[in-house]
Amino acid sequence: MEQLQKTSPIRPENLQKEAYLESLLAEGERTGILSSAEADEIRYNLLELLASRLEHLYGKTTSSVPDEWASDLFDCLLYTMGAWLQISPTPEAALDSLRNTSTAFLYQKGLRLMHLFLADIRRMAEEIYATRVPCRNGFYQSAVTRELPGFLASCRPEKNAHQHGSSIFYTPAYMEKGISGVWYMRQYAAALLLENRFCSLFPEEDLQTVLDTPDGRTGNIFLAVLSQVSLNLLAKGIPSCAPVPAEALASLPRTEGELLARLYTAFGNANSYLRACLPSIAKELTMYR
Amino acid sequence: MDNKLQAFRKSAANLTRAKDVGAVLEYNEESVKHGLVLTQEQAIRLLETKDEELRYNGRLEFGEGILGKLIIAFCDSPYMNKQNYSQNLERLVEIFYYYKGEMWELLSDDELIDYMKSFFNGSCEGSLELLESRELDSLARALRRK
Repeated sequence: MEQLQKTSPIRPENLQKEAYLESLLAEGERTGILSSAEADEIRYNLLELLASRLEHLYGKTTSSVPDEWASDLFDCLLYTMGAWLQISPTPEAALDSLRNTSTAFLYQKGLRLMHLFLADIRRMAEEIYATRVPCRNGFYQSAVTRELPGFLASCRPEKNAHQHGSSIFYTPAYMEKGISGVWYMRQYAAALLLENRFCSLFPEEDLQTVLDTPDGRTGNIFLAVLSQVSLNLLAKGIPSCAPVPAEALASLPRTEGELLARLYTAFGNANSYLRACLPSIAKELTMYR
Repeated sequence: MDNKLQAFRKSAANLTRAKDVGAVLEYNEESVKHGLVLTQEQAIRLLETKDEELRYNGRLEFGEGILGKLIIAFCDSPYMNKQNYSQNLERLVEIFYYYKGEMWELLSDDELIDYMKSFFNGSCEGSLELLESRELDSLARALRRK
């Protein structure tokens, strides 16, 4: 007998990571899971929550604030609650929470999540600093020694969980798209830590040879090191970051597809982060043929 | 204003109000001691003025708001009487929100109201024009220079 599968009218493609709560509300209304009156009541409750947060933050001295302040805090509330709703098992469960749980309670849950994320970032930042790669890449060094600690010093989830600053110029090799704020920084720190750990597997002098180049001084250092390790693996069969003699490069596969297939085999059980970077490495290695 | 907040405010607008008028009228209990009361119509107009001024000055109000504090502060002024009470309150609301922003949020509500009351009852001798264009303007400029 064929199994019946429950289908959902909610279209996941209509849910935006950066505006999860708003898009969930809209999707709830579009599908009829929420009536217009219910959606309006949720919106009204969110405004009440905003008023109570404004009073908590500024109420000792004022009974009104400039719209920009209110608007910024509202973005923060939506972001924080959206983050919590996003970790619900399904969008239907998230919508159910939104309809049946008080907005204040959902906000507290979201805020707790933000604090947990922040504690994660703090822990990772310490290890990132301890394992930082000795190189002359100013963007990288600045991200590790200034911008990441700067974010931790200035982040107050109650006020700016939705912001991660725009002054971090160093980008990890792979970042999920459409995320921001504390969530983004948690992924940023996790990526940077993984990249540091990978680089620290190789001798310092080899790293410096690879990274003391125009590309190594400005681009992503992990990709530069991974590219060199890939060359070694394919040409000599050893996971090293040492320079590869020109004659050894002759044995490299000729096409990007072949290179990628060999890289997937060579890196075997490597984690998903590293494997996600292999297509760009294969593309780069075609230059060495 | 940011679209998100504006959109939410529009859609929830029909769920607000009503209780606000009652809250303003409750202050009549205090002002009547000085022979001053607001009618329901005047209370509604005062609330409309407040909303308009908040919009005009790009501000969002929360908590109990400012009307009660203004009523309490000014209802015992020797320059308030039955004829000008309601209109003066409307003008005071306008002046308050304008200077709240002009003073770069440097003064708390209570501090600004204290200054307004002190100037109005003192050097301005009940003139709202002097309060606005002379005293508070000088104060705002002095605060911004600091």
